[in-house]
Amino acid sequence: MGILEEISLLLQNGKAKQVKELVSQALDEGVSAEEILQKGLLAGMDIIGEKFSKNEVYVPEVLVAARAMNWGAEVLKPHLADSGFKSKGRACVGTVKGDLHDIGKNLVKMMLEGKGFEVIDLGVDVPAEAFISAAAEHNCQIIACSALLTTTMGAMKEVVDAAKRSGIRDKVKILVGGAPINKEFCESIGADIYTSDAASAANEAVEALTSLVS
Amino acid sequence: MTKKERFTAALLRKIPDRIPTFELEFQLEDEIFGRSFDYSLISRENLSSCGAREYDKILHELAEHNADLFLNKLDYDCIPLCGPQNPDLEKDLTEYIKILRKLVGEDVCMWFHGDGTYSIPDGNEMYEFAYSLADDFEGVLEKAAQKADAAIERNKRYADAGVDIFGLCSDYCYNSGPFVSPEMFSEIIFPYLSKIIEEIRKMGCYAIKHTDGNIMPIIDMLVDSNPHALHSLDPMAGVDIKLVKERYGGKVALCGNVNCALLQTGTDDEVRESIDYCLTYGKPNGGYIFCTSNVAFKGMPPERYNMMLEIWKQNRDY
Repeated sequence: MGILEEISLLLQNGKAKQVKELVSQALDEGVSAEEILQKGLLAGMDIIGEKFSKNEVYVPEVLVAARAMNWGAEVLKPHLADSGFKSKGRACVGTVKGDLHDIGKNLVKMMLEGKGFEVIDLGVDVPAEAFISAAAEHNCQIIACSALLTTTMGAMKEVVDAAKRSGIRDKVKILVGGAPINKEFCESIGADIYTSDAASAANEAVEALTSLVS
Repeated sequence: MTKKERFTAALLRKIPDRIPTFELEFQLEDEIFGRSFDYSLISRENLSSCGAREYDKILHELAEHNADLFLNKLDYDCIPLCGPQNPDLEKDLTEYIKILRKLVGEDVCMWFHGDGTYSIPDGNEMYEFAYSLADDFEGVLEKAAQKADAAIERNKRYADAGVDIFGLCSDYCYNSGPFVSPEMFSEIIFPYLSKIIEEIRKMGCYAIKHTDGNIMPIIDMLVDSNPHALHSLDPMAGVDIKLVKERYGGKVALCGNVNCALLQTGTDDEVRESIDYCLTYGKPNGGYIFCTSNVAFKGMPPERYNMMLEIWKQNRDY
């Protein structure tokens, strides 16, 4: 087994300390930071995301794998900066106004990072205007809104409307998700993407980048 | 049948005179009846400021208020013991339960929280929980045992005060499935849930296991933990009462499945369809308690909840 494959496997098993050590070892052996990131860390998170979609792994395993990815990524950061590495895209994520639930939002954040996105985490109880100003400030291509409650899902429409008012609607794809959300609701409020789980959300976000570019 | 006979018959999977109903919580009192009890009056601070005699009067008023609300106005077959869930208020709640029991007598059930198993952690607690599972599994098990033991002791005190139905309300599932793998569930939750239920049964009380979400990957364990009933049967997560009744109706009673999302945002026809489905497949051969797939929550249009009760009244008799 090559060192990148080993990093991927250790990450999938949540072995943060060993991932960190092996990332350092790979750098010492002359493997480029970008290759370690893509073929080691992100490849591992990709597999975790797929397994999560199929209910083969569960939230704790995803969180522990994400911790391992972050530990490895910390080692890579200065090397990536030196090499001029650019992220795949930028996304701002948040739980909509009135809603304090953050597990779904955090999972989407991790999955997006696992796909190579730079993610701006706006937290919970986020007003529509905060999504828009963050997207404009950071030049985000994706706005991801989460809601757990039927009483707060309506706030997602406010985000879509605010994006229209601010003139950035055609520059961003708006992704919505959470327990009470479905495809019909997504379409009814004029959002772009609905997925039922965090891993699919990240996959759709990658797809969406292509359509924004084209 | 008395309300208690009706409710417990359903819990014991027998056929009562009619389908009983209740909710774990009823948050629509202001909207439907134009007034509600100010629960903030039940607090240690208020006790200090108003004195013991006045505080006792408040507890009596709460008991009278809720007896009227749940038995007369809503015609529930079991009283949910609404009130603050603050552990510091256990003494106050125990006193309130005693007053209420004296007021309503023995012919009606009273429901209160009795769980002590892990539930889906909130916010940053989820990270700590996940890291603990990876880094300190023995510690997770030790804490599970402590939580269960504490719940068992607490339940004894509430049973002495007059509670006869314990709702085990730790949520385990998202719409997609459980928050931990079924294997993990079997280690960190199932044994402790079973123990809590066993102790509830030993006291001659009843256990209703509630959880939101898609329970199907762990439903065998939920049933094997031996509650009298499973509550919520969340249709938003794809739980089908017809399927659950066919597979598990011989082992456990069922509560709920009326689609809360439709009650909130669906059409009248969709709501009617959801209610008809629950009654069609829940009612036969008893063992069914009619209620929403969560609670009658604030924000639900009150006319929808009234519509739900009206349809129940028309179809509840066996």
